[in-house]
Amino acid sequence: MTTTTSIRPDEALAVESRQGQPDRLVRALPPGLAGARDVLPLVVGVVPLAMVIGVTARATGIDLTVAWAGSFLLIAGSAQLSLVQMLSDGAGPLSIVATVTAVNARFVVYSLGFRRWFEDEPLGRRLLLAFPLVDQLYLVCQQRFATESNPSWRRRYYLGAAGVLVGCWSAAQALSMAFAGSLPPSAMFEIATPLVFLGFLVPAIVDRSTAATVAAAAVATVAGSQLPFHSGLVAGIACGVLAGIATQERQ
Amino acid sequence: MTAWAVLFAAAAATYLLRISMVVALAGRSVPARVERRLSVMGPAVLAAIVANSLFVHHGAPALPTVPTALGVAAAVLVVARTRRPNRALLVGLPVAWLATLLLPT
Repeated sequence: MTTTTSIRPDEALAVESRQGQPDRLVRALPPGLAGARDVLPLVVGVVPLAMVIGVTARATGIDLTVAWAGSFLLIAGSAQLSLVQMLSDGAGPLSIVATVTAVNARFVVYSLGFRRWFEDEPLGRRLLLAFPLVDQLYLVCQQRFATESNPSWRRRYYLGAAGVLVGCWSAAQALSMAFAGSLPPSAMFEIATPLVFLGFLVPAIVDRSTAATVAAAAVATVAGSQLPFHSGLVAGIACGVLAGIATQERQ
Repeated sequence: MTAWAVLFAAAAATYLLRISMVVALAGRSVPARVERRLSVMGPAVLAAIVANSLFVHHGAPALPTVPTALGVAAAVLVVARTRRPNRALLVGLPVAWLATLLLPT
């Protein structure tokens, strides 16, 4: 087995996950289409949550236009679901905004990676590009940008992926709200989300530090699941990063 | 109207999180050593999301159902062997559905 201690985990992920894949096809595609193509498998994973949000919004009786607008203004499923439920419960505006902010705290982590991808772009353009940054977009771009450094290619790839992701996400929510009574049970698709992310997680475990990262993040996320404001996820990410860094220091 | 105001405020707060490091580190370079250390962020995010999806239900720790566990196991085996991320969904979802049909509830 080839040692990967000199390769960053995100680079190793990019290389290993593409073994046998039609990389020439991706290079032949315009960057926007390549981004759209790469993000499509992850779109399948967001459909169950879109269904849950659509059906919940319909059931709670809140203004469906507000609920649906959250799909492209927030672009964050868990936070949007919290917002819909809290609006329906009559929670105070400050409480709702604080909860949404806490649930989305992981975006600070993504922001750090995003800063590296577009550091050659003007600040104004970077601020616009950051608007749709979310889990799925972060993952496909982190994987692809490990080996693609052309700023223009990156920008168009990112926009292609973001367009398909947000478009499908919003459309799925609109359809779920419109046909809430005649949808198959969303439980049938709930496993899709972890499966999509598992597909990226398994090849990312390339050495002891990534194994320690994954183990610590998983255990801490579950252990912290009852922390307020859904902060278990952020605590899990933080523990995973710390465990990974500690293991790197010892290697 | 209040609902719209709350949504816009929540969206603005979320956007500030997204641009936080872009603004905070604008014009500054992060030492290569720090960048290298932070490369474990991707696996940490993935592991946290997967663990949260599989082992947390309604805000409390919970084991996945047997069909889910079988689907996940099949997906892990296939991706570990092929290193192709999209195989996880292609294999795991049918296995979980099949297990749901065949196993007694």
